[in-house]
Amino acid sequence: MGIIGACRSVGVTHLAVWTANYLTGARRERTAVLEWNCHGDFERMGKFCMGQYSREGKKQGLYRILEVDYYARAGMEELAACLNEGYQYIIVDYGEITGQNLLDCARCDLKVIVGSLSEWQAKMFSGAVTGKEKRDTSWRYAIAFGSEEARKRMERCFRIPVKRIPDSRDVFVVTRADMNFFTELLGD
Amino acid sequence: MNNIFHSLILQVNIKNGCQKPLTILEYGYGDYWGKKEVNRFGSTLLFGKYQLCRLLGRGRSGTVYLAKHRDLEEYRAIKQVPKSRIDYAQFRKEALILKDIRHPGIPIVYDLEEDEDFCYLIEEYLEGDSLYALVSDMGHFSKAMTVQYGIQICHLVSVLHSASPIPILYLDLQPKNLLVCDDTIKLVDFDHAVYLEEAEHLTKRYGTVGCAAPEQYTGEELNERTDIYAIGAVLCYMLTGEYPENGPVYPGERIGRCLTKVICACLRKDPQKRYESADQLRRDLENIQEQIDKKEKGVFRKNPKLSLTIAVAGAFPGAGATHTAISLAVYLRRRGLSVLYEERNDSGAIRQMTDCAKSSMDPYGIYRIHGLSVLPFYGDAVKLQSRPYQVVIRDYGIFREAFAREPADGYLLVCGSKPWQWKRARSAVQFPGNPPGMAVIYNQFCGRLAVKLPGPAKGTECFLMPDSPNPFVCTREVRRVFDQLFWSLSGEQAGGAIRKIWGKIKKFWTLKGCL
Repeated sequence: MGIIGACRSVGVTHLAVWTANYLTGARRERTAVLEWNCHGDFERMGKFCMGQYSREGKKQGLYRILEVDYYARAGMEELAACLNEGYQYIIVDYGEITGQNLLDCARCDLKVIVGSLSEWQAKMFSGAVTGKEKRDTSWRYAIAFGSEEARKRMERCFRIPVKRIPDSRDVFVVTRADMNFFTELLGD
Repeated sequence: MNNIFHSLILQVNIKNGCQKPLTILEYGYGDYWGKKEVNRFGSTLLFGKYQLCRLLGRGRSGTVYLAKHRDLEEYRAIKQVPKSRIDYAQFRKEALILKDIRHPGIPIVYDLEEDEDFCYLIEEYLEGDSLYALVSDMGHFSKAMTVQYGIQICHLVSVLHSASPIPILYLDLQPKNLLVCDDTIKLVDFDHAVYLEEAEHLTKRYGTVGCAAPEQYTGEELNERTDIYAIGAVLCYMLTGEYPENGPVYPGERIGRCLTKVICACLRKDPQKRYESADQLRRDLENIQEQIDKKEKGVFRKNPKLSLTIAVAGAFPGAGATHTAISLAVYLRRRGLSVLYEERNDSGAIRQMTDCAKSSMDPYGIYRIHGLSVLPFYGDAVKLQSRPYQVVIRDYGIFREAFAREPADGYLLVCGSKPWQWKRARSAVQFPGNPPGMAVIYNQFCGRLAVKLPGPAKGTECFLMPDSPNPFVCTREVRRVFDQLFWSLSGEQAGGAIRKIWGKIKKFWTLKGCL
């Protein structure tokens, strides 16, 4: 599953980690998250969580939190290793769209474009959605920010369902209401 | 909900006085037609706001779909009736009847719509298994469950009969129209409900064979007592699994004179000899419930808010811990207790079952399988609200530290009783770290094979469980074993000291025989 952002700071990493916790916690699927960008978020998260969670990773940049395996600054080698590890879900955090990574994301079984409909970011999301005629139903669109009116307008203009990502204060907590969102997003 | 079941509908034309059984209709919750329809559901939007999700069922007058309101993100049941079968005024009548009633056991009607070919009734979506499906899947109910549900049915019917300003007659009370949603009865399908004053002018009468009162077959007056007959028929169905077509039929077990008397009073041919009102019937059922509670509920009678936790584990993989835990939960539910089966292992067994049953999760993360509340195993990231149950059965899968360490009111170790399982059973039974007061169940017990079962450790009680292929069906043999276990875990046995002593003597000799 590939998650990619229309621009920076729209919550791609947040959604990737949260989805992994849903899949592992609620659905008991073995899940790994790969950081496929150079932001270094996973490295910082690993360092921060060391005191709170047990570290089981043998390789550098690999650690486990609440039964989810995280691969910081991952590349082809890590992806190949994950494919052999028997994970039921591999979530790839592509960061924001750069061109090449959108093509990489398109190879995933399920792709999520995360955007924002805040006034200064809406145009970037519209740009990312353009060309959707060539995309099949495995592409999903989600936003965390922006008014409900803007979301509906977007749905009407582009004739695509745009999911609203619910508020989540803690990515390591999944509530019953959150499960409804994931059921729809993943199309269970 | 996945059963394909048949319903023989009786239609009586009063004008020519003939009785004409109509064709058998199918309610196919997953039949071929349904699957074909489902394919186009994703893209079907009704009236610009209802996204069709799936087919719920097909009844005598129309088809019911599950739909999601796009803006409110809430599910609705949409009943679609072809205009060729019904005129709009007649269709509107059902909505008008429902709109005046506000009760959690009766669906709320939200809207009426129509297009060229169909009329649509948009109602609250109630999820649950019909009484018909539950009895078909699990066999007839116990006396405690029958009375518990019977009281709720009486209450619902009483709400209709006391509707203001004009009482409403339901006229088609039958097990398929009664849903069990988390141990609460809900009444659906008001197709044939009428206002009392209109009942005498009906030119056609409908009913379900087995549940319809004798006067529904003739031109005699219909009144509240017509519904009382149907309550009696439903009570009989719950208790025996059969309709009282040829007089009430009772199962082998002792039903009790009082309940028999109540059912017979409902089913009298002469309406004047039946109960006068649903409230009167409810009061009699409540009296019976009190008597049952004295006998069946043990410690829960004195303290209904008490909650017991029973931990179950298998001595080794495949010993039958999950089977026994489900079986125990079903047994306790039959006693009229609220029971939760909680999966405490990562086998994924409950998820497989819920996927199979297409059951959906409630706000507490709990699913219902054949009416039993089950909580699958969740990881640490999942935070759910909890709700109280009288008994929580925790299934730990195989015997490990967590089983003995976590506090519980009772511990149950499930062992195999076959010769190739003795060694592992012995080491688990005689393990020094076992929790005090742990009971042992020798599963799939066969007397001829079990000549060298490990003897009970000090302070451990042993029970011999016969083979039972379906954990959701509580056979008499299984009930006997659980009766002993229940009284041992939860309190003193009803029926006097002699019965208790006799039970102990019997158990002692049974065990001695197999050691």
